[in-house]
Amino acid sequence: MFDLKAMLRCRKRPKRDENNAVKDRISNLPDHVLLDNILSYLPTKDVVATSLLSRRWRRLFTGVTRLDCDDSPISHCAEHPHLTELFPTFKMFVDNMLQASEGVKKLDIHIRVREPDKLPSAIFNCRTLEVLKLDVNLDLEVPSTLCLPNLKELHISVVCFPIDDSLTRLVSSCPSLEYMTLCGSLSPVIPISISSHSLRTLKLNTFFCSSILGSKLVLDVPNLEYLCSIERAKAFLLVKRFFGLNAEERHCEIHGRLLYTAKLVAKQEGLNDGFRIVINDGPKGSDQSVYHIH
Amino acid sequence: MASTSTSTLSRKLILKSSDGEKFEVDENVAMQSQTIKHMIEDLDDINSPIPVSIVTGTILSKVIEYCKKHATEDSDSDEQLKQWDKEYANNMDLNTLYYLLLAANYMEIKGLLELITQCVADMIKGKSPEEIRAHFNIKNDFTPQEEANIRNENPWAFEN
Repeated sequence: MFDLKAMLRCRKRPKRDENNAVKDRISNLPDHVLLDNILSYLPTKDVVATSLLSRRWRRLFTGVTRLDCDDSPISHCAEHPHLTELFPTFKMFVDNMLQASEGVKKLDIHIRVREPDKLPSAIFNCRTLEVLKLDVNLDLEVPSTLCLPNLKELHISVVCFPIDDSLTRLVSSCPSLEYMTLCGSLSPVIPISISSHSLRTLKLNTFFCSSILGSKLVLDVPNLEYLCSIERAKAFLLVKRFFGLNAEERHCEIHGRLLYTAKLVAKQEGLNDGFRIVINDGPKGSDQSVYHIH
Repeated sequence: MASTSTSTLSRKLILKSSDGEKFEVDENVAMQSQTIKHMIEDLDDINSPIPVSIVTGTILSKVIEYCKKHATEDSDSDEQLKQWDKEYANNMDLNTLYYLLLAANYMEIKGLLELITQCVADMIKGKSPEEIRAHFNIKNDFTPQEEANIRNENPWAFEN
């Protein structure tokens, strides 16, 4: 009943047309469209893999201005020791890319390894960097000299903040810093001080989780407009907003009388150029947080 | 007819594709395109058709479909709109996506450009170079030796 050959011919013909129709159009897109609109949406691993597509793509990936590092090649090392040699090449790649490309603006690194190593020191001396997100189980070891003149946004998520002055020095080395989130536990005895004139928003997360002995965070942030502290470790949610010198009476309902009063007290004291807040985490944890206006 | 305040207030514009097809659209729909917005500002007679010179009628109708959906803000939640965007992009073949990308770029419709490029990025994500070549019909013009050298430069990028 059916002419099988004719059917196959019929089916083949449109298929061939289809093949002709699917021309390699993506390779003809201008560099800036491929880089800014397509490769910038991809994890760095996929971006680098495009170097193997054809000569057109060979060096294109070096123009990306956003790195999104995937730690899976490293985490495989722990499971498969024969893959260990991949780790240095990945590390070298990050180091080389940061040292070679002045254009890097945004950096997003997630790393979970069994045997923590250090972060490449080049990260802390990248002059063009504007956004840095670190979600790592490595030691946050900051090199002795560092400079991030254009960094505006800093997100740090670590298991434990270092007990030395790393965080203090890091923040002080970012004169343009406006937005910062810190996630991790604070050492119970050593106070951490954060001082920044440019900082406008600060979010603290699970910060006081080991506070039985009482830990202390000293903030010197005269231009801070928003402060948010969330403590999940004790299933106790504490949200504080702080509008500093911009607090108005109408903010009372949202921000609580306390912070409005804080502003009034500061004004009474003649502290019009800004004032310092100290959050003391008392012996019973943050349910005894005390605000001092200096 | 729709009696919402936006549609009664909105003027009608005529867009003309590269192949001469004409589309009558509400001004707020056309204004999603920054390019058209600037053209209207310079135009004395808004009743004359506005040429969208590099976009064909087939593609322009799809662009207008997107702009219409995104011009009526109040009707859908963000979630519904995202779902609509997803289905809209998934229904396009590669050729259409390519011309839509060029149209969105030329007409300066940020949301549409992002939607299309994200869709293309998703086609690359997690695939091996062989799979990407096959998907986009990219011709491999490397010698086997060159290919081996590139793999050796960044071996971690080619591991699954």
